[in-house]
Amino acid sequence: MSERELLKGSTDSLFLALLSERPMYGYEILREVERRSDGYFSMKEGTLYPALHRLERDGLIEGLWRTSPGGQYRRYYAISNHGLQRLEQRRVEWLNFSRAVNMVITGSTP
Amino acid sequence: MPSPSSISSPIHALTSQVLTKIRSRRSVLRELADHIEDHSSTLRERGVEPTEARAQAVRAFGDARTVAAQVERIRNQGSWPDVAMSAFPSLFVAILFVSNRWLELEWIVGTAAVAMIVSVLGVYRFGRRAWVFSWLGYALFPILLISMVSLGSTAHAAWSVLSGGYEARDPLSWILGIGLGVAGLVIIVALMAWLSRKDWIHAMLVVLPMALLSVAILAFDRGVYTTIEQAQAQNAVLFGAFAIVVAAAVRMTDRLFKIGLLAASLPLGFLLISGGIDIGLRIIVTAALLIPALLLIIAPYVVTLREPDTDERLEHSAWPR
Repeated sequence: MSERELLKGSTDSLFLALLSERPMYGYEILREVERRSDGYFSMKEGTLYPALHRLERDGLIEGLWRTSPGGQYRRYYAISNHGLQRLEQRRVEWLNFSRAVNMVITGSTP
Repeated sequence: MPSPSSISSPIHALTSQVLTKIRSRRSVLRELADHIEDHSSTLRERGVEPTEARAQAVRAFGDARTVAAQVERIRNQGSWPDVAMSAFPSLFVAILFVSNRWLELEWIVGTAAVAMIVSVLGVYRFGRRAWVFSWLGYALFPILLISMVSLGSTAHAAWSVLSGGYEARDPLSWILGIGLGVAGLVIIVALMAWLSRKDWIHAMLVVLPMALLSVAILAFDRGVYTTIEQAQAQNAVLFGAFAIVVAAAVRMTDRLFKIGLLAASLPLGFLLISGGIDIGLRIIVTAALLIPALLLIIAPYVVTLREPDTDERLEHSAWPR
C-alpha cells in the first residue's frame, strides 16, 4: 500500500484529532497536519475541503463562519459530540492495528 | 425589507430559494478563495514576490472549480443511509395501513413514541441530519392532534353556549382545552419558525408528514372512503409514495428540485386519495394543502442570513481567474 493510500484512509482521524483540541479553519488544519507530521502528511490542498464537508454532513464536525484572532473572517470547524465518540473509536482501532502490525513486522512483543 | 404586497408572491418565495442556493455556492467559493489567500499571504511573508506567491498558492490548491463542485454535492446530497432512514417512517406508516394496524391504539402510540425517541437520539448523536427531521414530523403529530382536538372541542362547546345550548363543562375543562390547544400550537409554530430559519427543506420534512396524516384522518372522519379496505389501500399507497418522494428529495443534489418535489408531494397525495370526495371537503382539504406553500412564502421574511457580504469579499479575493 502506497503512502498516498495510507493517508487516504487516515485523513478523517487526523482532522478529528486536531479539531478535538480546538476549532480551526481549513488552511490552519492543513498547516497543522504538516507541522505535526514533520511534513510527512502533505496533501493536494483542494482535497481538504470535500473531506471537511463530508465530516460536517455526517455530523462529526460543525462549520461556522467567525472572525479569526488576526481579524479575518474564516469558516471554522469544531468537533461535535458524535465526532468525539468516533475519534475515540478510531483511536482504539488504530492503537490495536499499529500494535499488531508492529509485532509482526518488527518481531517485537507487547 | 420587502414590501408587504410582495408577501403573497410565490415568485418571491422561489426567488429567495434561488438566492439561498447562490449564497450557499458563494459560501463554498469564498472558503476556497480564503484558503488560497492565506497560502499566498504565508508565501509573501517568506519573501516570495506577490504575483508568484498567488500563482504558487493556486497551483498548490489544484482545480478549485472541481473542488467547489465536489463540496456542493457533498453539502446537498444525503448519503444512502440517510436516504433509507428518511424513507423508513413513511414506509412504516404505509405498512401499518396495509397490515390493518392503523386503528389500534397501541400501534399508534408505539409508533409515535419510537419516532420521538429516534428523533431525540438522532439530534443528539448525529446533529441536523435530514433523516432526523423526517422522523420528527411523525413524532410531533400527536402534539398537533391533541392541540387540534382540544381547540376543536373547546370551540364546539363555546359555540353551544353562545347559541343558547347547554354545555356541561366545568371551568377546569375550559382551561385544559384552551391550554393544551394553545400550548401544542405554540410548540409546533415555534419549532417550524426556528427550522425554517435554519433550512427550509428540514422544515418541509417535518411539516409534510403532519399534513398528510391530517389529510388522511380528515378524509376518514368525513366518510370519504366507502370501505375500511379502501381507506387502507389508498393511505398505504399515499405514504408509500411519500416515502419515495422523501428518499428522492434527500438524495437529490439541487436544493430547488428538492423543494419543488417536496412541495408538489402534498397536492399529488391529495389527488391520489380524493376520488369521490365532495366539493366542500375538497375546498377544506385544499386549504390544508396550502399550509406548506404558505410556510414557503412566509419563511423568507423570518430568515436572517448571517453570512458576510459575499459579493464584496469575492470581488477582492484571490480567486483564480
